[in-house]
Amino acid sequence: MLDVVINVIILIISLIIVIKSADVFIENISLIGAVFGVSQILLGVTAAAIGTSLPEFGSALLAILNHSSNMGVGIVVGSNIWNVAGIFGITAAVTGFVKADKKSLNRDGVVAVVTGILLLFVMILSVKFTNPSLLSNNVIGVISCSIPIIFGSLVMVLFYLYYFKILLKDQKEDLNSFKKEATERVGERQDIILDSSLTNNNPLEKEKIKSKNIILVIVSVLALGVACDLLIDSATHLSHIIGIPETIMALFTLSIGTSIPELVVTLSSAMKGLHDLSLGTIFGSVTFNILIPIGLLSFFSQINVETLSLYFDTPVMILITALAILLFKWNNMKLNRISGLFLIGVYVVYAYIRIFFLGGL
Amino acid sequence: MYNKILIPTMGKYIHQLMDHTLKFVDDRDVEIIALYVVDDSVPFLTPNAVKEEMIEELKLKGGYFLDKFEELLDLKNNPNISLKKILKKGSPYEVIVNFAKENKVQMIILGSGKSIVDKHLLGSVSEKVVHHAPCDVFLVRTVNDD
Repeated sequence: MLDVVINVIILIISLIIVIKSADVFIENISLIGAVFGVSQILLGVTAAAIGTSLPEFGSALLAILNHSSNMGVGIVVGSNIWNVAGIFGITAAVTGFVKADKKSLNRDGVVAVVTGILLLFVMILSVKFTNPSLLSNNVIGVISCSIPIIFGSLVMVLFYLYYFKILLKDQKEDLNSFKKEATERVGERQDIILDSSLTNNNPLEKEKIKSKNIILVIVSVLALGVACDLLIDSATHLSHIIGIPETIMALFTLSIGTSIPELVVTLSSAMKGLHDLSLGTIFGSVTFNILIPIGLLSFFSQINVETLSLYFDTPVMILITALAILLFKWNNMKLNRISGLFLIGVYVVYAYIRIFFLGGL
Repeated sequence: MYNKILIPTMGKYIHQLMDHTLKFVDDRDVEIIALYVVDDSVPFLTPNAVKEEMIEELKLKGGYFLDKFEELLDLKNNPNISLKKILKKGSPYEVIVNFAKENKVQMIILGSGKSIVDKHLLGSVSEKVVHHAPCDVFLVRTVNDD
């Protein structure tokens, strides 16, 4: 019992450190980037697209490299199912609705579905081309190790870079059209009196790198690594003590835990009426979670594909993402409270089937 | 009486607020202060970069709504009204109440806001303002125009 309590405490503390250090890293690396002349748009898009997903990336990386390569795919796929069904569901249920812009939904939503299909394709390749000596009980394929699989992984990484390029282009266009509209609006209107705290709150405009920023980048990367290691370690221990499969631990505990930034960002931005940010956070994370951790890491390490990941979890992930898009489109580009509750219900049913019927509990 | 009026707006129900304000003001000489509060509160573990992005976006939104407000007020045809547009950062209800106190506002006009379910889930700025305002409050019964 004491063992369980200690491991749960380590898991929670390491999770908080993982999330905070990812935040500190992104903030300081953006400041340094700004000083070196990296454009604000590029920094903004990177921070938004990657910032909330670093915890998943870090823990998937450590799981694949050190502990259990079965957990890596679980964290990624589990996070994505939770992001779409759980977080969208909770956000719509609490705030009443999440509104989608047609262009963003068509771009980010469709890319998220295509990304899932791409992962499924790479998994199928791994089943076809993996050396049988690497396979075990539950493992039916290993991502990496052969040319066709590496080709699939390369396509994943290139696809992400292409998507990122589109995001940048759209952001530039949006900014230009907004500036144009704002200039046209000004005319002979009264000036808006700005609060002093609002006149200069862009930290990226600082001109000098302080040694503090460099130290914080180094410390945050180290903290991220150590905390991710502790996180995976405590999760692995817990799964052994309680007697539940590691994949279940990855699919539910780790994936929900590392998705806390997505939850708080999506929920609070929807409350403030910033629906584009809510939508971008979820679909952006879904895309990043698959393409970068799986695509990139497969060049350096073996990523095991379990039977259930291929035949159940990944297809469910693709279907739930497609379902969320359909719910938006069906209800005039809005995910209302009823649709949100429905998505939560879908997640509960998935978790129940996965844990009690298929998970071996 | 009531010649300094504060109208906090979050963008929603702006047409309904304006209709009632113009009817209420009629042809009296009044100073209207339109206030948009950039709500900078975020939950624990929200990435700082995202918080900054939220503040920037809300600032732009606020500017847009205040301009919209001015447009709807139609100052050319209502010369009895003078307008001040203010953008502030903080907790909406606290900023509204403190602003009203500091500037000796005589009336606050605001919308009744969310549905009962939303009020229970999200809390209500208008309810807090009604209870803590230093002046009279004109609560416009707003209907969701989404």
